[in-house]
Amino acid sequence: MITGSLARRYAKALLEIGIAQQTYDALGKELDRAADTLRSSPELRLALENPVFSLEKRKLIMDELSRRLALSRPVRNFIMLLLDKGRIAALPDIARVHRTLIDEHAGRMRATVTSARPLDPMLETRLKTALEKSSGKVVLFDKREDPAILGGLVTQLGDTVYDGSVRTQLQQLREELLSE
Amino acid sequence: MKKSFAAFAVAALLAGPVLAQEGVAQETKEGQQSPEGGAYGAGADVNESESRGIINWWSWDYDTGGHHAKDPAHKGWPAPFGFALINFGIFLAIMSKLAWKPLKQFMITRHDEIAKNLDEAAKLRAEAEATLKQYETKIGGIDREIDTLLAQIRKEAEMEKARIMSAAEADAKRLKEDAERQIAAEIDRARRELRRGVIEAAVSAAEDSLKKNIGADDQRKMAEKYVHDVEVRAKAGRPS
Repeated sequence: MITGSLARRYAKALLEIGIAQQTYDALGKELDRAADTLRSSPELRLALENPVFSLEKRKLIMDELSRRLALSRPVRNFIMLLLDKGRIAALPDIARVHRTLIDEHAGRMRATVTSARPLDPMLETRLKTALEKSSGKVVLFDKREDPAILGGLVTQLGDTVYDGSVRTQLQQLREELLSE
Repeated sequence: MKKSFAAFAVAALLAGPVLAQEGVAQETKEGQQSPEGGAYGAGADVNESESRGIINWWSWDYDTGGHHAKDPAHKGWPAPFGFALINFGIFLAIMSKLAWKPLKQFMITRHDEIAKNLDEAAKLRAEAEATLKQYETKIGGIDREIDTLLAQIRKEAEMEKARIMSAAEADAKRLKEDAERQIAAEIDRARRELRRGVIEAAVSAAEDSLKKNIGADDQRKMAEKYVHDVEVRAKAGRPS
């Protein structure tokens, strides 16, 4: 398990390369692609993390994967470095931190908006404007649908969560009644 | 000297009666003296001499114990009694010389021992009497002592009874309080469980109802309200 500070150091190194080459957004997307692939395939993760397989074989697998995912040379070299250092398991964490660092560098914030049903575009625009106004940054929406929240919306912007879901209100009501 | 005198006295005592008899014999048979001084009557036979007691004091011509008298007149005479008496006196003198001191010492020792034993017996008797007296006194006071003891035992028993009763009452009170507390806690717990069950059921029913009844229009209104709240916060300069 890699620590947050270590993930941040790796992510920052890749960001500096991207900034130097003016390709940090593209590198970020490539890294996300690679991280998603690793996250979604337990067999691949096992093959790359298992020391039973020699490093050369694992590098061959990663090389083939990089080719199929059309990863640029900096991202491929970065992943090979993680393999060399035995840190490939930390790729999803590094990708997440890298994305945050890119957003910070570009003056952006990511907001995860969860709704029970698809959000009306007009309301989405209004919400985005309001969030940009309150944060002072460009807000990128990551929309999710979750019927379990019953109704209303839940927005996570950075470390702040504004929960207006019916489920949460019901839970609050339940807690209030129980505490009486 | 004293011992010799004592021996002589003993001998005299023994010889006294004999001399007395001799005096009597001389009065009755006057003129018939033996050549050795022995008193006898002429023509007296053995029976006669026996009736006169000692008839031969100093003559060795006697006729008893396998010894035959030469003088027919001495027939039946015994051995000379005077020599026997002297012999006895010498014996007494030797005995007093040799045995008097140890005998006296033995007697003194015996006397002291008996006296000592008597003293000890008297002492033991005194002790026994004292002990007897002590026991008699004790026995005399035993009833009072038993009464005192019984009274003390009764008093202690009463105190112990009171203490046990008090402890039992305290225990009973504590048990009752514990039971009451436990019952109250159980009732409270049951009440809370019931309340929790009712609330859970109500919330669950509300959730089910909302799932069934929230329509698109309700969703839109709730989203509207949410966005409006965020806008208000943004205008107020507060983070979402």
